[in-house]
Amino acid sequence: MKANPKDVFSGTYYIDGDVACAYGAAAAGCKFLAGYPITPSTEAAEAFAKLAPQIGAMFIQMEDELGSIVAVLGASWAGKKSMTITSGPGFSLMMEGIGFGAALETPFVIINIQRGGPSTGVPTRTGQADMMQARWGSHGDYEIIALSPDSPQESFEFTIKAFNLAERYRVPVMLMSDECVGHMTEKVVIPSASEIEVEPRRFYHGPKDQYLPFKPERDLVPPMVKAGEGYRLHLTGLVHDENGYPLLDCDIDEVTQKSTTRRLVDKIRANADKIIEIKEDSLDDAEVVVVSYGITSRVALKGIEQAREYGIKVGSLRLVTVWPFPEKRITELAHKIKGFVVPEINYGQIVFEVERCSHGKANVVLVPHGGAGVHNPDDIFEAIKQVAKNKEKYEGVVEYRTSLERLIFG
Amino acid sequence: MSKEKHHPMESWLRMDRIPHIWCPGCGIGTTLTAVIAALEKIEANPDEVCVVSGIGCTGRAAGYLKFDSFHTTHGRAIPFATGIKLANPKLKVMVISGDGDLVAIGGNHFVHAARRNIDLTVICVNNFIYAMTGGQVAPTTPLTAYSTTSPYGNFEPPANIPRLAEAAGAVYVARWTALHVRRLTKSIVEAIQKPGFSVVEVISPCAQYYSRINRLGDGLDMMKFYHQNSLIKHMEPTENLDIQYQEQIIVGKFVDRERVPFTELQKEGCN
Amino acid sequence: MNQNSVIVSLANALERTGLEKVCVVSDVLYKKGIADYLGVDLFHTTRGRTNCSYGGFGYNRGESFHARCAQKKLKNAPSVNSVFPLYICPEQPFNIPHLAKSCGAVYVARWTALHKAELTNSIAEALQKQGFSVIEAISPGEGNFAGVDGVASDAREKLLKFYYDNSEIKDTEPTENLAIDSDKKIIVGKFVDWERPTFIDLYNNQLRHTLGNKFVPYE
Repeated sequence: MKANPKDVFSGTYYIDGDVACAYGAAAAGCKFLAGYPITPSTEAAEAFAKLAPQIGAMFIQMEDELGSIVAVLGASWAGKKSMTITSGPGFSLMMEGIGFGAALETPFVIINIQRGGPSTGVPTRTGQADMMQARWGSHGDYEIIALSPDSPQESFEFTIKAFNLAERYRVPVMLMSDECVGHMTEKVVIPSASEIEVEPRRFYHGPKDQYLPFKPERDLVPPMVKAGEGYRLHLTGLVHDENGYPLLDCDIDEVTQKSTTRRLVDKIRANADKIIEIKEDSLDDAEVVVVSYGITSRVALKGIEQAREYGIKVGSLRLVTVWPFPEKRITELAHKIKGFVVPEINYGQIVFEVERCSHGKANVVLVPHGGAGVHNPDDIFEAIKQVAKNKEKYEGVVEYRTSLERLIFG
Repeated sequence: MSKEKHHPMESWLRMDRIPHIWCPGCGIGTTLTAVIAALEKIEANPDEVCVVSGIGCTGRAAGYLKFDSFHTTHGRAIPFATGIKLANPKLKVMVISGDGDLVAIGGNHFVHAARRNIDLTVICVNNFIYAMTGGQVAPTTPLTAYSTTSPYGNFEPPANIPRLAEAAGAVYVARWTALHVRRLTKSIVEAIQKPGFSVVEVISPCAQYYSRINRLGDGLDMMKFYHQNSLIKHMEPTENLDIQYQEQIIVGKFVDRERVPFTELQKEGCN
Repeated sequence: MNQNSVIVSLANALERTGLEKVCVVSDVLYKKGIADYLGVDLFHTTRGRTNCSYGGFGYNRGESFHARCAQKKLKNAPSVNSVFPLYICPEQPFNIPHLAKSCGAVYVARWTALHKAELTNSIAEALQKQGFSVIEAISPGEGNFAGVDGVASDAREKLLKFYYDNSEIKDTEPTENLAIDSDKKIIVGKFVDWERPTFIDLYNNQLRHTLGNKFVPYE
């Protein structure tokens, strides 16, 4: 389905990544935003607060992030495409609601403009250290989808993509942006509505008394209904059956058999090939592959360019979807290459996924960064050089000592 | 002809989930009866009623009522209800939850929803204890009362729910016990019809924990206690509504005032 | 100016009371530096988790100091949402002294950043008071609040002048009358000052009562 022209502010803009997210949400058909101000994400909420009354949407600033995320769930079940916007500390508070949303199979989008952490951290500077929290942050078994943009243009496009995935798989989708992309001002082209593909919510159309909110159809995903239309649905965060009723008095076999939890995981894993999007460059004859995401993939470009000039066969694999992780592709490459270089603005998160999927077939080198800034591309270049030259096979992840770390820690 | 007896409120209940989990002597069932009676009285369209609960004994209310009903996480019934109400203002959204859920873990949401005057009807069942988890001290436990986590008697001053609700901005505040079914029903009718944030506190016996730990007898004894010790005082200033252990409980309607609800103000704001 | 005058008042009050064991806890954002500037133990908490002397957003995270900035456009923008421009805020602000009193605070006062001497005095009194004390310091948010609402860039001076012209000291005013509204003067003063046993007193009393000699008081 095409976007509604009333929701699309077509034109060429010079805006930052945060604001681009707000335009993306509008174009995707978002009609409800509940949030709480937190640097460096506030510009996105401010921009949406401005757009909301022009597109028939509601913006509410809640008392905290605990309330924000749950209001988003309520609005989503009342039939509105919904989202919230936050950063690290708020993201931590939202973990409860993320697990609840995943358990209820509620479509919604969370934009996390990552900042330095842990705790209050470095509010005005960048970081990529929430990547594992995005994947595992709430308790229990569930799966989510996470995307990582590297520019304001992608912030716009990926926000739409996030809504589309959320609706298609009835799952929380996280746009894992960061302060650098969020506050970077660049040209953003918003195309006409006819060029924007929007996933409509898949509604149930059968007899009212036969609706089962957790009975899967296509792709293991159940269709939805809206509150207030006579379906008398019941939802609970307790482990539940297809009807949404808690499995309280059952024995353990019955719970396992009837529970929807298995499907929460399966619907993402079974559809991973359809969900995963990666951007590849020069992988055919690559000896070294740089795996990167978000702002780091832009910085890595320079290091890759330097390495190519130096004569190294280096390719790039950029994660557009970080979760689910492109396991198969990494394994495939691991059999062909010397090693992976993984620069990220943390002390090692996605690099361990790369190592896991390499199955010991390729070396894996982390180029870490403590946050509050981005990598020096020279470090990425040097790490590529090291991997290209190396003839040994290492066990586990090897950490490259960046020039900054050498300077500080000797 | 079948001689099977039917409950007169069957059409409002999820009969496939009965029997419920509540203990004999508990007041939550009575409260649900009052809620249904109130909805019947105003001839509410059940398709347009949403019930949101949090966690706890009262949190299970959503599971038995046959409306669109949501059993949310602990403390988050009010923000979830806020989301529903703002996404579809035509719906009548009720929050039915316990004292711990609404004024302890969900206390911040409670005061802010009252301040914003979100059009919700909040039924707060107050049994003075965390019952679902086995009888721990609650923010409403009267001074000196025992619980499993106040084994030497509670020393924390309890919350005065009507006063908190009024101070934060609620437009309608009433308190009844589970004994005052007709008056409670009337208050729920008024609260539903009132535009804005309404709170009805229902003092409810917890025979299994509160009265067992404090040796106050069973549910019926608690009802007798309410009968002898509750005093109806409409429009009593809310600062006088503190509840002391096994002393008089003032009940009645305390607040009924006009404030423009959030959604109305929002419309004005955008013009 | 804005927060500085509050810090100065706090520092003066600390000096005046001669208290030695003071621990300052401040919240995130504009007040974050406050604890840093004082030579006392300090904790800069995560947002809204303040629990000791300074900050005061502990239980109503979500209200920003903008809410206290009273100026001419107030009725049209009574809350923190004024940061989001273009549309008028649909929410009604808290009456902080009333909420504090209703929740059981033993000392509640409100002053503007202009009332330096009174503010200092109140902070000194509150520091010496046993129990939960709340002082609302209405302080100019010239950067965002005034700017967004179209007050000129010299808003700080204007706001202070506004406080001068539009505040009224009324110590005995019932807290329910203290809502801030553009039609009315901002009422300042000390509204609540009463005695109530503190949490630790209540703990010790109750347990001594129950356990008698077996009780080891908590200090």
